[in-house]
Amino acid sequence: MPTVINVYSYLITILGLLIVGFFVLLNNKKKITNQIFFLLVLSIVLWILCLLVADNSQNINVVEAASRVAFSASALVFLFLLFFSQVFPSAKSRLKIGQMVLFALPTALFVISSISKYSVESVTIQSYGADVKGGIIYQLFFAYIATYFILAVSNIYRNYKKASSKQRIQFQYLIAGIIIAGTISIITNVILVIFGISSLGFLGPPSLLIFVLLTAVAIVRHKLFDIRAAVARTVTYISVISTLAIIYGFVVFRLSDLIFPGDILTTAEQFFNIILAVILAFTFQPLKRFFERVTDRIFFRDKYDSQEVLNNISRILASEIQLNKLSTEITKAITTQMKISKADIVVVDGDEIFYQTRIIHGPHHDLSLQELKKLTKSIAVSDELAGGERKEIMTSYGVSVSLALRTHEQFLGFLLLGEKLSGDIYSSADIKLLRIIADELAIAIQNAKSYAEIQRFNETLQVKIAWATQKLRNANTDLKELDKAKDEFISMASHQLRTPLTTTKGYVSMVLDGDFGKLSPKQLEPLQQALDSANRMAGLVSDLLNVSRMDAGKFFIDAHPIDLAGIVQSEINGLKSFAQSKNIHLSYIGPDRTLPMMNLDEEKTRQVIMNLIDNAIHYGAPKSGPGEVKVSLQKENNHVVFKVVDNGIGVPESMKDKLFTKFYRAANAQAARPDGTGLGLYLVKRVVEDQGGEIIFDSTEGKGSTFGFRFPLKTKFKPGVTKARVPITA
Amino acid sequence: MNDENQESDARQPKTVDIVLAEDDPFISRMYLVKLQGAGLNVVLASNGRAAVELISAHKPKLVLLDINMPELNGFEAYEVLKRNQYDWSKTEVIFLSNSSKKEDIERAKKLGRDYIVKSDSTPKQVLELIWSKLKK
Repeated sequence: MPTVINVYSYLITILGLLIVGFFVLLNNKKKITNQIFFLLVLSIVLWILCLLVADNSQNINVVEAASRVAFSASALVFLFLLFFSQVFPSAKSRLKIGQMVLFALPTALFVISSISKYSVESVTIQSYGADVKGGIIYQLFFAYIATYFILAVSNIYRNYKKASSKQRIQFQYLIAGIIIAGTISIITNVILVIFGISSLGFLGPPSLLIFVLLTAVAIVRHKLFDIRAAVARTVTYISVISTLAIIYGFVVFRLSDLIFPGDILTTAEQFFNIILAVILAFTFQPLKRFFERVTDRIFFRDKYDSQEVLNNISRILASEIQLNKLSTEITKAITTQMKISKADIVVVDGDEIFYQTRIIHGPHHDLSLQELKKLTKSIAVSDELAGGERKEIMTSYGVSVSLALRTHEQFLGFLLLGEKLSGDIYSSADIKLLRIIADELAIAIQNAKSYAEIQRFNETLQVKIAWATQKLRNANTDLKELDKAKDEFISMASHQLRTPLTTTKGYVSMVLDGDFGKLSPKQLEPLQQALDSANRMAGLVSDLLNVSRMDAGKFFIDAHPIDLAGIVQSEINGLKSFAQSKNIHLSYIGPDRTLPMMNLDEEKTRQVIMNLIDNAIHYGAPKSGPGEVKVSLQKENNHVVFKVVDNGIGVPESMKDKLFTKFYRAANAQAARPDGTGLGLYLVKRVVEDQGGEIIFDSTEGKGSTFGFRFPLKTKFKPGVTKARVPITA
Repeated sequence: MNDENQESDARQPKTVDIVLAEDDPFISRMYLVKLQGAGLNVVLASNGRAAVELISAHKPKLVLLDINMPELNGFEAYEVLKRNQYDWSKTEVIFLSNSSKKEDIERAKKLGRDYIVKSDSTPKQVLELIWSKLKK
C-alpha cells in the first residue's frame, strides 16, 4: 500500500516541477531550449501524476487508464529528453525538422499503441499498487527508451566537448542533476529495497525535482538574475511555511492532546492555541531570515551589496591621489567585491597611454592604443555585441565590459573588466553600478593625472635645476680660476713695474739731490715734476698690488707708531706741483698742537692720504672759477680727523652708494678722467676701516665734495714695539 | 734727526766696507753711485751665492741684502752664513725688497733687522738709514 508520505512526496514533486517548468518558460518564451525544457517537465509531470493515480486509485478502470497514459508519457519524456540534449545549453544548432519528425515517429507509434493491448496487456491492483503487464511491444519499448537515453547522453557528451568554459559550467549543473537524482533514486528505490528497506522510496520523485531544478538553473543562469531570486524566495517561503506547519501541527495536535485530553475545545485550550499562534507569528520573521540566508548562500554566492561597494569605492577615490595606487586599489576593490575575474584601468593622454595597471594582457602583447580607441563608446558589453571588430578585440583580451572614463571636459581612458567569477553575464544592475563607478573614477583619475603630471614636471624641473646648478658651479670654478690668474697677473705685473720705477725715482731724486752736480733753478722744476709723477705712479702700482692682495686674502695691516702730521705734510709737498699744473690751489691746515703718534700702517695710510688729495686735485676743478682743495688734519674730541674739501664736480646722488666699491667710477668722474682705475676709494675705505677708522664723505654734485677719515685716539703708542722702518723727511 | 747725517756724508773715511747684494744691475748701479759718492767702500754681489762668498771674505760692517735673488735668496744667504759660523753680531743688515710682503717683513723683524721697500725709498733715504746704522 502506498503510504501517505509517498503521496505527499509525489505531490510536492509535481508542484515543484510545474513551478520550475513555468519559470523557465516565462524566463524566455521564445527560446527553443526553454520551450523543450518546459515540454520535458510537462511530460515528466504527466508521467508522475499518472503513476500516482495508478498507485492510489482502487478503481480498476481509472488505474488502467492512468497506466496507459503513463506509458505514453514516458515515451514522450524520452523524446523530449533527446530533443533537449540537442538544444542544451543554447539552441545554436537549430533542430532540423526532418530529424525531429524521424525521432517523433516511433514515439507517436508508442503513444497510439498505448491504448492497445500490444503495449499494456493488462493492469491489476496489487497491495503495492498497480501491476502492469506489458504487451508484445513492451520489450521494444525498453529498447526505444534505452536508445533515446543513450542518444541523449551522447548528445550531451558531444556538446560538452564543444562547449566553451562558460557553457561547461552549465553542463556541470545538468550532469550534477542527473548524478544526484540518479544516485538518490537508485539508492532509495533499488539498493535499499534489496536490503529490505522500502520506507525511503518516497525520496525518488523529489530527486527528479533536484535534476529538473539544477537543469533549470543551468538554462536560465545566463539570462536572469530575477528567476533565481524568485526561486530563492519560493524555496525560502516553502521552507518557512513547511517548518511552521510541522511545528504547529506537532504542537497543536500532539501537545494539546497530551495537556487537554478529550475532543471538546476548552477555553484553556483555545487560549493555548492563541498563545501558540502568537509565538509562531513572532518566530516567522527570524525563521524567514534564517532561510533567506541559507537560500542566498545557495543561489547568490556572487551577490554583493551595491551600496557597500559604492561606499568602499568612494572611500578609495577620496583617499588616493597617486595614480598607480588609486588604480590598483580600485581594480582590487571592484574584482573582490563584485566578484569579477579581473579589472584593468588604462589612462590615456592624447595619443599615448599615460598609465596602465597592466592586469589585462592579450595573447601576444598589451592592449594597444589603436585597439583601445575602437572601444571609446561609453560602454560596451561583450555579450551584448552581435559581432564585429569591437567584440573581436574584447574577446581576444578577455574583456567582458569596457567602460570609457570621461569627465565633462576630458576623455581619460578605460575601465576594462573580465568576466564575472560566477560565469554569469553582467546584469543590468551590475552595469548600472559600474556606470556610477566609472563616472566617479573618471573625476578621481583626472585629479590623479594632474597630480602625476605636476609630479613629473617637478621631477624634470629638479633634473633641470640640478643640471643648471652644476653648470653654474662649473662656471664658478672657471671664474675662480680666472680670478686667481688675474690676481697672479696683477701681482706679477706690479712687481715687475716696481723695479724700473725704483731706478727712475732713485736717479731723479739723486739728480735733484745734486749727486750729479749742481742744477740750475730752470732744470730743478721739470725734474721735480718727473719725481712727483714717478711717486704717483708708485702709488698706483701699490694700489693695484694691494687690491690683488685683498682679493687673494693676503691683505694685511702692518701697524707701527707713526707721525700722521708728518705723512700728510710730505704728501702735500709731493702733490703741490701736480696741483699747480691743474691750476688748483692746494692749502693745508695742520693740527694746533702736536698730535700723539698713531699706531697705523704707514705705507697704506700714506697711500690713503695720497689717494684722497690726488682725487681732489683731479676732480676738484670746477667748471668756472678757480679750483680749491683744502686739506686739514685736526684733533676733534678724542679723534684725529683728516679732511680733503674741494669745490669740484661732486658725486651724483645716485652714485654715492657704489662709490667705495671696487672698479666703480661715477659717470662724471669717468668723463673728467678716463684713465682712472676705480681702485682708490675702494682701498681707502678698506684701509681706514681695517685700522678701526671711519670714512668721512659728503658731496653735492656740481658743488664739491668732502672726503676724509677719522681715527680714535685711544690707540696710543706702545713704546718699544718697533722702530720706524724708514726715516721720514718733511 | 737726519739732517746731521746728510751733512757728514762727504767726510766719511773710506774704511767702511759694504757688500751690496742685488741682482738688478740698474738698481745696484744706482746704489753704488750713491754710496760711493758718499765715500763708502762698496763691493757688489749679483746673486745669493756670490753674496755669501763676499760677506765671509770681507766681513763688512754692513750688508744690503736683496731678498729676491737667484741662486740663494737674501734670507737663505743669511742662513747659510749663520750655519757657517759667520758672526752676524758685527755686521749690520738691511734687507731690500721689491714689495711689502707680510712674511718677508715678519722674517726680517724676527731677525731684528731692518727692511726697505726699494720703490718706496729714494737712494738718499737708504743712505741715511745706512749712516744711522753705522753710527752705532
